[in-house]
Amino acid sequence: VTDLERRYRRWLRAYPLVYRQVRGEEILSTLVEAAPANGVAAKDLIYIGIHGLRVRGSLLVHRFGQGTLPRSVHSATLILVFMVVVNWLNAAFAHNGPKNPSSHLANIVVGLVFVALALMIQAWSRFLYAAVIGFLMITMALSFVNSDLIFELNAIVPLILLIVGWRRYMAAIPPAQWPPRSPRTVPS
Amino acid sequence: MQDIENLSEGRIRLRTGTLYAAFDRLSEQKLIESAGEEVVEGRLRRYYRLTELGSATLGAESRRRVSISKEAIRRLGLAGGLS
Repeated sequence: VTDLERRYRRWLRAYPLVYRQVRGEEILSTLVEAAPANGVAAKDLIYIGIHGLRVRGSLLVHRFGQGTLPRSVHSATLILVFMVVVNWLNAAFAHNGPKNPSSHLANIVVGLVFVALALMIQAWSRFLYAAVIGFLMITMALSFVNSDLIFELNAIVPLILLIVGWRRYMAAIPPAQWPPRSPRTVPS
Repeated sequence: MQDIENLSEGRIRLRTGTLYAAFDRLSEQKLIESAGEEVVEGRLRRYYRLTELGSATLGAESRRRVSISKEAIRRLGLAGGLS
């Protein structure tokens, strides 16, 4: 294995494993064959990085809405969505007064965070699901230290529901595959 | 990739990432398919070919572009237009 090949192989990690298993070796061959005489082509690496991220995104998008979430996980998502609505309504209509001018912005940001958490749960990804639980746990831990945190005890209900639904959620995730099984039809 | 660069007289330089993005898209649309693979000097080389749908689509697109070019040449009043 040449140094050139080793370097390209490292960059191929931008692609998800399932994609690398299908296309990894041929992409590597193409990269090595097309490499300039003086070593690695930096532009190639950038394009590989971008394409790798696009493939990852595409796999994630295909997993959205794949099936029915376990009831507890579904409820946790609904609570998060409810918290989004509450925060944004608060941002739109609450009058916090001149002493607390930043709180509208904080409500908008918190609403966006909850949107992200709800989407991460819906993505049917083990990593993202664990990340949501981790995030809520950290939030809970911090809320005990600093009671001024916006999240406070709001996080505990979805956290418990997500932990309860962990096993069923994990069991329901289909194995990742490339090409992703797509409900979309081929244009004719 | 070298062919594309030569055909376009150096104007288009396809990068590996771009090439495989195109392969993914064309495969998904069933316009190309794998036509076998071989190991050359210890490296995997996979070949692709146009499917019937791919040939038909490429033909239609080529005719459309020729037609647009003809129309452009006619409107510009250029001599020696496409016949």
